[in-house]
Amino acid sequence: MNEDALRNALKEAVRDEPPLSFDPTTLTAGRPGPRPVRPLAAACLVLLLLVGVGIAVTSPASAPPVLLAGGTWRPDIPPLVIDSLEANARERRLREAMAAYLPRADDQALRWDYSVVDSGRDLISLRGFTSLRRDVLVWAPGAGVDGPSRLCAWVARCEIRTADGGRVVLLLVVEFGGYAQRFAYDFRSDGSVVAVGTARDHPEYTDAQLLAIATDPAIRA
Amino acid sequence: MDDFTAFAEAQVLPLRRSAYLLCGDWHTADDLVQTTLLKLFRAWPRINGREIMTNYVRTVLLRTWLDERARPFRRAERVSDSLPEPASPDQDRAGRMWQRTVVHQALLELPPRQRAVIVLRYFDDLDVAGAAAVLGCSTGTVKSQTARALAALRERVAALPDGDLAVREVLS
Repeated sequence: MNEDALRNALKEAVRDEPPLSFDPTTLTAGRPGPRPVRPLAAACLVLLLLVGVGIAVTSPASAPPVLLAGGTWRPDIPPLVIDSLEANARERRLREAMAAYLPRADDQALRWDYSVVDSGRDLISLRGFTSLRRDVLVWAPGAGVDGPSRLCAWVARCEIRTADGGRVVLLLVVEFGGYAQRFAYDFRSDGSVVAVGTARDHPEYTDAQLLAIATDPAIRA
Repeated sequence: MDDFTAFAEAQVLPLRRSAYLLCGDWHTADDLVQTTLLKLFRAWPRINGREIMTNYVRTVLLRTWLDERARPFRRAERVSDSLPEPASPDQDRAGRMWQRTVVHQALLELPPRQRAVIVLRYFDDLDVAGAAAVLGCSTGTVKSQTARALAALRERVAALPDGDLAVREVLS
C-alpha cells in the first residue's frame, strides 16, 4: 500500500477549494452570522411554525395521541429521564433485537448518539449501519424527528400503510440522481420513531420486510 | 472567548476540507463546519483539556455529518456505477485531476465509518489511537475498518480501464 500516494491524492481532492461561504470571525464572535436565505428552507420553516401554532392552539397539552387528518402525528411525549444505567440497559436490549435483522452489525456499526438541543435536554438515538446500506434508526421520544407530514413533503413517494392507536406507519422513497432508497417509518404512540432503510442498488428488503422490522416491538428506544 | 475564536479560526479550513472529503460537496461542507463550530461554541465553557480539543472537534464534525446523512431528504450524495472518462495519460495535470476525481469518488462510495477512518488516517494524519478517540471505538476497530476501506478502494480502482497507471499507483 502506497500510503503517501493516497495522502497526496486526498490533498489533490481539496486543491480547488472555493472561498468560504460564511464569515468565521462573525461566527466565532459568539453571534452567528445569518446564513444564506434558502427560499425552500424558509418556506418549510414558516409552514412548520404555522402547523406547530395550529396544534398548540387546538389541543390540550395532556391529550392522548391522536392521528390528525393528513397523517399528522401528535404523540403524548413523556418526560425523558436518562441515566447511564438506563442508557446501558437500553443499548443492550436494542443491540440484541437489531442483531436479528442486521447480522453484520457489531460494535463498530452501532452507535449511541447523544445530542443536546438548545433546551439543554439530552436526546438519544441508536443507529445501525452496515456495508449493505441498510440502516435502522431508533429515536427516543422527543428526539426532534420530522413528523410524517413534513417528511412526506420532501420525498419522492410517501404512502401511509397503517395508522391506528396513535401510530403512523409510512413507506417512502427518496430519490436523487439515479439512486433511490426506500424507508419504512413507524411513528409510535409513545413518541419514539423507528426507521428502516434499504437501497435499490444492493440486495434490498421488500416493503413487507421493511414494515415488519420498523414495527417490531422488540426494536424500541 | 478569545481562545475559542483563535481555535475556531485556526480549525475552520482543515475542518472544511475534511468535511468536503466526507460529504463530497463544498456547500454542505460549509454547513457542517458552521454547525460543528456552533455546537463547540455552546459547549466551550464546560470543556476541559484544550490539548484534546482538535480531536474533540473532529468527533463533533463526524457526528454532525452522520446526523445530516440520517435525514432522508438530505442524502444528496450521488452514487453511480459509472466513472468519469479518464484524461489522456500523457497530460500530467489532467492525470492528476483524474486521479483526484477517481480517488474521491471511490471514497464517497464507502460506508460512512470506513470513509471517516480513511479521512482521519490519511488526510488528517491521525495515528490509530487518535482515530479511535475521534470515532469512539477501539484501536482494533480502526485497524479493521482501515483494512476494509483500503480493500474497497482497491476494488473500485481495479474497475478502471487499463492504461491509467497514475491511479493504479495510488492504491495498488
